[in-house]
Amino acid sequence: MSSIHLATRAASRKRFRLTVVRQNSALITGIVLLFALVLLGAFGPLFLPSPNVTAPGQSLMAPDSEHLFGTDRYGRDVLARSVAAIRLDLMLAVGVAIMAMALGSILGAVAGYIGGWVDDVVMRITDALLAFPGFVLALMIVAFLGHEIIFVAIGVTIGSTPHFVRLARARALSERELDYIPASKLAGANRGRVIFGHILPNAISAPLIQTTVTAGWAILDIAGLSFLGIGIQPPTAEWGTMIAEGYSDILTGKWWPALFPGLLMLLAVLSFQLIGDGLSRRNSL
Amino acid sequence: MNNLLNVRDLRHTYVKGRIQTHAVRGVSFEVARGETIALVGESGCGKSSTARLIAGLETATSGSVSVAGHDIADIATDKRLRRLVQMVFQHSDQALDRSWNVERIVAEPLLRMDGLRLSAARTRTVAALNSVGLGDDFLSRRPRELSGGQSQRVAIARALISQPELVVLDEPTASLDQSVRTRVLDLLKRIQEERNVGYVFISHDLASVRRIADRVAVMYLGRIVEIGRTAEIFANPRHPYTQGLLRSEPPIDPAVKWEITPMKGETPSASAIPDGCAFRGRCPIADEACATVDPLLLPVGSTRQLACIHRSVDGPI
Repeated sequence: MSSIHLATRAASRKRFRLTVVRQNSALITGIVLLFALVLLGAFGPLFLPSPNVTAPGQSLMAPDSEHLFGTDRYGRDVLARSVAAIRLDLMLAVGVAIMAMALGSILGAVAGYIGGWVDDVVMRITDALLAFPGFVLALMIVAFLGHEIIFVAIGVTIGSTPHFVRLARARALSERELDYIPASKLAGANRGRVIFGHILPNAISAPLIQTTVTAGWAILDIAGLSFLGIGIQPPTAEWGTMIAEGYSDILTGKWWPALFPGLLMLLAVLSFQLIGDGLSRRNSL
Repeated sequence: MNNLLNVRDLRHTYVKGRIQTHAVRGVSFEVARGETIALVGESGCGKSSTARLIAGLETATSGSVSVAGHDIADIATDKRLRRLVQMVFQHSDQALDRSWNVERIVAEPLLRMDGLRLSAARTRTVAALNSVGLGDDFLSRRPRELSGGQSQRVAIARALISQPELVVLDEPTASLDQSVRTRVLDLLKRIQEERNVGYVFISHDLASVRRIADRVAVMYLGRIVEIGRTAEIFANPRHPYTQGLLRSEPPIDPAVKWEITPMKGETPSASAIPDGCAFRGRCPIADEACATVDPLLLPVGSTRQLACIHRSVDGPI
């Protein structure tokens, strides 16, 4: 009887450990992948030719030992361009995700804590923005503002903010009912102190996790806008513009100018998704 | 007025849509320095609303609260007066911000009221922790590392660090084990003797009330129905509701057989209070007169007040 009991307990403990490892493995894979990409983006360009040097005689050369990823139709090294794009795309995506997180969490915490008409205004705007897919929203904003990198960043940030508002507001609504809020009022904390000192730190965990997922989506949005020709403009090395320039060559069997930037983009998005997934599972454990 | 706390005809009505909930319906009492008054009654009798009004967390519909001669509205908005009234909450685990450490939690009143930096408040923070029996090794701990009794002590240290003159204790021992409960009560009592601070003690645990309170106010549906010295209320309850409430408490001696005689009926809703005496539907001695007369809280003897038309007049105290 007790041996059976012990056996099931051992089994359940083993199962528990397995799930922890599995959850951590997603997290660790994501972190390793992202770290590798960051290293490549930071130091790769030192060992590679300039991404924008054209060589008319060497256009669309298949991958070989000199050009590992081949060359595009202007004879530019696809590896050098793909690696140069890591800096731009990762920094832009992470910047956008952090901006959206900060903006959305503050708005959500303020709306959730203060309530009343402030909450109504913030949530109606958020709902209106949520009615559009983030990408369509970003597309409209960039089309309206212009094709500068900063406007791409603003457009994607606004498209990503509503989720953070909802996450932070939901937590703020439950936090404000807890007794530490009246306790801090009795301690003399004003509204700003209560929101930024108490509500926000306790409401931030879900938005923080969402940030990594958002960074992944932001890469897709930025590249998507550039692919459509309204984001980052050629000749800047960026995954979306590279795919846009290269995809017509696929039809003639020259697959490398579009495939390799797409592959790096895939790895970048995957790394953010894995980290986000791993973090949210750990958080709910 | 030499009283520390004066509560005069305090009323509070919550309005939600068309429904008006009369949580507090004309409560008056006073507390002297160094005195403890206990507000007792069933859930929903308005004792917690009264506590929040006294602490200045909510604004009363009408009536007044003054502490040490200052109106509560001024105390709630003036940083220099804010220290006068502090409060200890029922759920100590919720009353401490879990993302802060004990040092910041305890020192927060000094940071906000006196504009001190955390390092400048250190000596007083440690002293406050010591006064509740916690060492300075607790400074860096987080609320989740504290036991129930420890977190309630931290909450008490925080409430006392600004040298308040009145502390509202909203069921401070309700979420604690019996043994821890006794120690926290003794701690509160010792602090009161040292600092001459006044307590408003909210509880439905009659044993705790007996242990700590100098006077007891029994509340029913937003009103005080009986108020007097703890010993005389427990020894000789006069109001039928007080009698019912005391009967519902199990005897301390386990050998004594507990005659459970529950009060009949349910408390009427605070949004539909009956005419006449609010307690008459559950009262064993109610008659036709109770349906028409709303009993006032009137003195019987020198230290006691009672709101019952039948018990106020007959019989000696």
